[in-house]
Amino acid sequence: MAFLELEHVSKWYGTYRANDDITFGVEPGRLFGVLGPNGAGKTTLLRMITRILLPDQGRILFNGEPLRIEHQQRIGYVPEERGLYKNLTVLDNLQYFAQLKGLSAPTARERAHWWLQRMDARGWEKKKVRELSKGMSQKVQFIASVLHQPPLLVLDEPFSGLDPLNVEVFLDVIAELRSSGTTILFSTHVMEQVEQLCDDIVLINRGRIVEYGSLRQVKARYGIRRLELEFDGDDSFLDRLGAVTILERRDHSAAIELSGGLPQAQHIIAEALQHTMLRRAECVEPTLREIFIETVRRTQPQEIAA
Amino acid sequence: MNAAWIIARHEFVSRVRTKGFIIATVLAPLGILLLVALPIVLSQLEVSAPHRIAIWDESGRNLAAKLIAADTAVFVQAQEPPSKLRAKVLAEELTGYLLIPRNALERDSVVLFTRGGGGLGLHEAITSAVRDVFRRERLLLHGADTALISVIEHRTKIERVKVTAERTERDQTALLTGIGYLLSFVVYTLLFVYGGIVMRSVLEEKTNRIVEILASSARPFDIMLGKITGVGAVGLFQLVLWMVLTAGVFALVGTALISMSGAATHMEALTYYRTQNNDIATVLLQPPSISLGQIAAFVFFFLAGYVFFSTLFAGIAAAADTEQDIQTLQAPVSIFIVLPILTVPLIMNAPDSTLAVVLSLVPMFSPILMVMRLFATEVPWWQVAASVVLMVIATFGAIWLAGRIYRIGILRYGQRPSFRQILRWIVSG
Repeated sequence: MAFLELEHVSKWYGTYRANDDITFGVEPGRLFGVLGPNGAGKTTLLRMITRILLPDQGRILFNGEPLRIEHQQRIGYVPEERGLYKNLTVLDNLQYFAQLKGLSAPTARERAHWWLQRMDARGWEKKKVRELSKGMSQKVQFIASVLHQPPLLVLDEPFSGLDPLNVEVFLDVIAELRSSGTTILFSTHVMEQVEQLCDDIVLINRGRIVEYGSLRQVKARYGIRRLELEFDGDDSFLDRLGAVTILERRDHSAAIELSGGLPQAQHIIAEALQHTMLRRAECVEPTLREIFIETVRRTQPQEIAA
Repeated sequence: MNAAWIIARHEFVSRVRTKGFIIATVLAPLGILLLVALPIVLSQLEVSAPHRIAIWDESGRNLAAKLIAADTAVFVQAQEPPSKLRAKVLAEELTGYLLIPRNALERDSVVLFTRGGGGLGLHEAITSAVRDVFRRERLLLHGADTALISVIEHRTKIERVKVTAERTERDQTALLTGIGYLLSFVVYTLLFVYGGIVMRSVLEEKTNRIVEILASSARPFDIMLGKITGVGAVGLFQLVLWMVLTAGVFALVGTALISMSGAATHMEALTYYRTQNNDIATVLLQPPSISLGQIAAFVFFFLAGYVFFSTLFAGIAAAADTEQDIQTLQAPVSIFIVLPILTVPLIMNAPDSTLAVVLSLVPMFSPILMVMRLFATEVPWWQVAASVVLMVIATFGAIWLAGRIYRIGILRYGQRPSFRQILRWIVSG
């Protein structure tokens, strides 16, 4: 059974539907990506999952029970924009937010020290938040969300504004948490990270789900549609292939759209072998980025026309 | 542990340990001491730097001598003619000179030459001295004998005695009215100070997006309630510290002040006694009889008023996006703090009038006006009870109202909502 389930969840502001009939489940211990372009309704969705907002329709189940205020104690949340008291120290911020999640002050402080070390932030305890850089406060914000060891962690655009070194630190920690059984749900529009990280994804556009499933399933659904070749020798065989679309063509490589499936691929590879010294031939799945762009365009016809 | 409680405790602790709080708490009683002591000290200094008014008398009735006898500290006999006196005034050797013309009594006028300024006090002193001397002189001219004159000039003392069921005691209405006046201003100031703190801190949490973290751990209503409780506890704590510190400071230096002030004091509340020819020193030594009930009522109305207004301020800040929004949105609430303070002089003069009774029963006015009346007069118990009940009802109403605005407003960003929109939030909830 899914750890977190959304059933026909809708939320609207006036007549504007921020979320419309959203249904999906998040399996325990998985890394679940919520993808979508800006303004798709990701943040509203995450706010309902963290019970900051209540759905206007539908229901959310946490571990099989309808989501209640008490469940907030078992959810960690990092909002998109950092929210820390600028005039308080890092430690005071962390202690306060952990206390709100039900920790005692000593436990909160003890874990805060441990986490600050883990996140390469040793010695920040007494620093005022106003002295921190954006990346630094992002780390503090993240620590605030995990001190109470929540089984569900919700991250809204966790990597935005981080330098590559810090992204690595975050990726490490997230992988660690996941392997220790934490279910992690995060939103992003950076597709490369999703390909690297996610087990499952839901892609939403204009408040509605347009793709949902494990990364494998989603990719499989779009099928193998691209043949990449690398070769030494004369590339003129490409011109004799007949009715194929050549997506990219360089001196010693080409990418060809596969519309005829495996037989077509075999035919083209045979041609290449015959006329050139073939070094590599690969049938490639579409990247998530391609799926994303295609899906968003497909579900947004008016805007393309405009 | 309850979230509202954790929030309240955090608000209290993080505010009480700031330098600002400590400084304000210690400085305020010293400020009050300064306010009381300064006029007394200054009145002592005044003797060493007196005003000097030379009198040039052409009346031939020896009016100058009589004026000098009336106030030797100020008036001196002019030794030179007015033309030279003028130079002395300009050289600041004299404050001014008084010219009593030949027919001064008939024309009933004299002329005072100064460089201007000098204060109203000096002016009043000269005027009353001249009038007293002239009246006496005219009475003599019309054949009145000195015995009659002293009868006319006699001032009747009014000893004010208050009758209560238990005993007869000295009536301290004037002093108590002064205290009520002071306390109603304290309530007024604290409503704005602490309402402002709540408002700014709600806005800070909203603009810094801290509220999203809070809302992922607690109900918006608990967040609001916790904040108001915490800040209110700071206010109450400060008030108690002020009362204790002020009492302590006066216990230490009060006697010194009294002996220094002697019979003359500028303390406003005590001027009433001076006009009644009471002995100031004994009054000062005899503390005003303030009952525990009065103190309890003051604390209740301060707290209820604080909760009433600061929840509304919290709702306003939640609906706002910027400081400017707050300025616009708070006006319809702030007006109810300002209005009663404008009627305080009215209530002070006639605390038992129908208008006073009605105004002090209006819930948002009673924190200021009922406090005023409780000290200025004997308020019937049913009026106190009615205002307490009304205030409690109004406060719960304000919490309900502000809670609905807060819940929706706190996560909304962008344009400032109109009053119509806020009304819709309240209704649709």
